Amino acid sequence: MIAWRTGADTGRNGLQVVLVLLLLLALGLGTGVSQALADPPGGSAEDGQALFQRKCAACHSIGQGDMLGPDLKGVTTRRDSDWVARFLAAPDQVLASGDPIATELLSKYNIKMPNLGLTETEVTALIAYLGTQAGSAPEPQPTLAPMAILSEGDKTAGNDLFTGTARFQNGGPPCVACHTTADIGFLGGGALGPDLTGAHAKLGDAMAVWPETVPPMKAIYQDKPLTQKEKDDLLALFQSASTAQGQPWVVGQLALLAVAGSALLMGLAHLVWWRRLRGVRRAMVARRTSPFRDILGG
Amino acid sequence: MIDIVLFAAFPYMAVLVAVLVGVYRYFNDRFSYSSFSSQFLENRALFWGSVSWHYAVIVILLAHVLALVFSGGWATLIAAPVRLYTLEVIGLALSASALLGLVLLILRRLLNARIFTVTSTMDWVLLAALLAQVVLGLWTALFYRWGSDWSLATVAPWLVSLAKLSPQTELVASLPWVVKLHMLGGFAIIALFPFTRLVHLVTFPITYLWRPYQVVVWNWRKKQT
Repeated sequence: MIAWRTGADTGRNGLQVVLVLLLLLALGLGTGVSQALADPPGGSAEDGQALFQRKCAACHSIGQGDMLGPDLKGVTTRRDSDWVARFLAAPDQVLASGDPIATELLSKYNIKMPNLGLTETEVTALIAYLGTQAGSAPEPQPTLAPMAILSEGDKTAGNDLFTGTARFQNGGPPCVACHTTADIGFLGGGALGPDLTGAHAKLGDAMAVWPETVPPMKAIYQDKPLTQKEKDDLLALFQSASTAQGQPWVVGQLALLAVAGSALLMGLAHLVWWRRLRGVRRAMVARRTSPFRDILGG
Repeated sequence: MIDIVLFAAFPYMAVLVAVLVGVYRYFNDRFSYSSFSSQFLENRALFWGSVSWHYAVIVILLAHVLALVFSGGWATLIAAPVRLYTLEVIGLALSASALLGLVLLILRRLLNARIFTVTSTMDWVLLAALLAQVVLGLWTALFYRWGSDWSLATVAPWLVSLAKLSPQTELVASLPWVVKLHMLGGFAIIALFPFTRLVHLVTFPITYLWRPYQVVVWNWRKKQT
């Protein structure tokens, strides 16, 4: 009566139950997937907000004061929106062109904004969002947490923290779980997050505020923040890290090791159970039914 | 919204289906709680397939459970890179063995006429689900290293939050799709459990561990060797 029976005794009733339940599961999944496909990121202020949280919030606040970069409250009224669009799309190029505003910003904040590789739609969305956050005039706000990045950390301690040999005081996972650098030997660090080789040259000390502010790290570290000492140690490590690219091909090495290990296990199974398949009858049947039985004299 | 559907609603639904249908099947068709062994019909390919698959997948499942239940101890275990690499390589070797065994079992069911005849639709569904799950796991282990480490800060607390009935989907929301599919696949297989021969999981004779001992007496002379 039930579909879990094999072959001929599979009944219709049970099959129907199974199909209905599978349909329900599929429906649940389908709803979710279609929802995801229904709203691709567009240029709306709402998309801009999500984008801001993901890509900008590490260095900029809105109305909370300056962080590594300026407070962006009212930036769309403060500056020409065309300029904002150009700067968002390619801050490095704007700065290189000798743009006076960009040069002034650099001398004030002393950090070059990295090129985030935003698309045109993303820039539109961000500007739309920043527009809704303009308020009246930017009120003078006290600077948020003073960015006391002294970078007098100990790079050996930083290395231990990065590789997980020393644990973070508040229980956050070690960097190596998701990141690698050129300095980590043999199989390297994790590949879930970006390779941090040369990251400090690009991003500067801003890296220190990332764990608690940038998704997906934010969800993990917001309740387990790094201490200032730990950040300093890590920054010291990143500053001194080599920038030579070119990790060995780890996936290939791992795949080879996996195949070798698997072969070893198969060999072991063969050794342990070598008698298991040596029945008396099978050999006799094989002899009787072999097309070569006349030659073999079975 | 999609995260709630996939990583909160779906897991609960899957477990609910597994328990309800599992209990229903137990009380209405108890004899079917079995692996429906086909060893009588064919045992050569079965040996290599079944041994590789079962031993490997049991150890891997055990590692998943241990990392979840003893997250702190697991984190200490992999704190030194050498230990992390060793553990990951052992896991990969076992995954490769499981994959090999599973492929052998699938080929056996496809190519052996006698076995093909006793294979139900749900058997194929289960085999496909298991294959997908192993490939996704292997893919994660190879390309999104080191899962045994980052899962402690993402997947493990998410599962704990599910168990506490206050799902924190944001912990896993930003993982790559391959990893997400592996997590969803796990719950899909839990949902499949009561509809397939996977029910033989709960027939493992674990009661041997605490049943009263039995005295075995041979009433003939032991053969001289």
